[in-house]
Amino acid sequence: MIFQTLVNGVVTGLMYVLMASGLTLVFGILRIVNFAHGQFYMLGAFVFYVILDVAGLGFPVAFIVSTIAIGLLGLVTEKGLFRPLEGKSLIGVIGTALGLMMFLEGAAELIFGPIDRNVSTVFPGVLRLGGIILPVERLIMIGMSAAVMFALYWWIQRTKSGTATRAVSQDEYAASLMGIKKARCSLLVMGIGSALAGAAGAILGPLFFINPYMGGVPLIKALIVITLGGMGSILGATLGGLILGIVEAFAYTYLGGIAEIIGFLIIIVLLIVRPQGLFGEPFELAE
Amino acid sequence: MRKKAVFIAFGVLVLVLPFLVRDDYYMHLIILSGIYSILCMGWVLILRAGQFSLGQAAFLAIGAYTSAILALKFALSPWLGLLAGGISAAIVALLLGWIVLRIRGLYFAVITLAFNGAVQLIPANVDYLGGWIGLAPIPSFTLGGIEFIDKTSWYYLILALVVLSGLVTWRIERSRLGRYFKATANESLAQSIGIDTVGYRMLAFVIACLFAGLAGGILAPYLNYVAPGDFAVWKSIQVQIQSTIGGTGSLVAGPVTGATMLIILGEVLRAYAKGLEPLLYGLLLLVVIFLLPDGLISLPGIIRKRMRIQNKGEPQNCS
Repeated sequence: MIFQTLVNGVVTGLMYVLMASGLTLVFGILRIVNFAHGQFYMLGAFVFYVILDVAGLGFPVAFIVSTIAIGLLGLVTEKGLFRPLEGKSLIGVIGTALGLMMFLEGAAELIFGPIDRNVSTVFPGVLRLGGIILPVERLIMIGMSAAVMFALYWWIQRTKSGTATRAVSQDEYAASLMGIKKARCSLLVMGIGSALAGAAGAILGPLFFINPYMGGVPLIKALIVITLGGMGSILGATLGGLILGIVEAFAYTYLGGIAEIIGFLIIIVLLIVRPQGLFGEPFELAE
Repeated sequence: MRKKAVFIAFGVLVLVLPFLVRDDYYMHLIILSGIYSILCMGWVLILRAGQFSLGQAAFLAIGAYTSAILALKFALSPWLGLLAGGISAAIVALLLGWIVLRIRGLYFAVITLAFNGAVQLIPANVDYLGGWIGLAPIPSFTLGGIEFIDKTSWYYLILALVVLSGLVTWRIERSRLGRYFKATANESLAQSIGIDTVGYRMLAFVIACLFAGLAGGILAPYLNYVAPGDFAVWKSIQVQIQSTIGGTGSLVAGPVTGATMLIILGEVLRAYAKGLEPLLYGLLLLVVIFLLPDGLISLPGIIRKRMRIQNKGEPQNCS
């Protein structure tokens, strides 16, 4: 029982990690919480569904197209919506992200209809290892999530643009003295962050039903994870996601539905007691 | 002179509205607009004091559930429930505010969002509070022997609360308190001249949530039920969007306009296709933020200015 719960927790946790990494990456550079991130995830799932089931182009094509498509959407969003708002009032910034969120949800509902859809199972079958049940699909999902996270880490640690991004998130002014343009960084990061959401949609969408409203809960979970891990920290998102997944899995097993509240309590307590989360930069929330 | 006439005409219209609108469906929408107007006015009050709340629906819930519990489990009059709803919401706001109001900006927004989420889950997971299905049927108000069944009576009740809320917020804005509220937006400056910024922010927050609770105390008997689904985070986001679209520069006209317009338009569009409602909210919000930052309420002023520019050379009377 305990091992099964643990495994479930890790699977859920990886979902959260995928969602949260994109969100925290964007926040680290743009200082904007992209509330539409959940909608990007939802659209990633739908693009994946359309390519796989409607166009019948196979799993790899579907995955790549969804990731790239949502990445492009992120680029457009940055250029068109977030860039003009740089430095403007909070209400404008939050409002824009929320406005985009609502707009995309409505648009998706109009285009795809409100019904649940089932994405065809590409990897059928179930593994049984000593009492633990793991559908093959989930195993693939774990593998792909891990691969995506490795790619993300490789990019941010080993490439020029990734290092530049880290520099900007640490100290924007110093980075600019080194010749790093924040604008290009913002654009790149929105692209990658959004692509991560799209990839998450492609990987995770098929595990459940997909519908235009599926973006709400992952956004909340991502918000919880980035608060826990520290806004702007990918390592924090990774650990935070796994922690939340595992804690929730055990809470659900032993407490039932009320476990849902844990995530919200985590946010509230954390922002009061340790606002920088696990790995964020310490800062003063109260003025 | 003209402004006063418009005001009076509007007042008369509002008073006789139920006799002009004979349709129960639209009266329902108008009553809902009233509820949301109250929430929006509170939201703008909090905004003026320098905070961005994404959790007003939580206080609506507290008011509604308090009223429902007192009526169903303790057989108390809904009037008492109304009062208790407001008071409980105010107390919770006091406690919450005491802890989190010193946190500013985005993080306060996130905390209120989380608070809303948490509050919604409490009755949903407690059988005594009805679970996800909720509690029903909730007895209606009676005044002087007349039970509130017809939409008309509900309309006047909610109108009374809207007017009360509007008056209170307007008086606050006009008074010293209002200037203090505005001052708290610039924290360090205000504190340097001795204004207790946290105290005033707390006052704004508690008042806003008090009215949200009172609105909840009316909502529960009106709908005849309470269920967690009506108090989701999305509702708080709706409040923010409605207020922003209406116009945050004004404390009463903007929020009321925004709430009414969006509730009615939203419902009408939703009848065609469910997705049109969030689409409308999102699109209008983006348009307002980028093109009309002072909200829809600023539109007449802008049009008047444009026309004045076009009529240049003509002597202008200051009205």
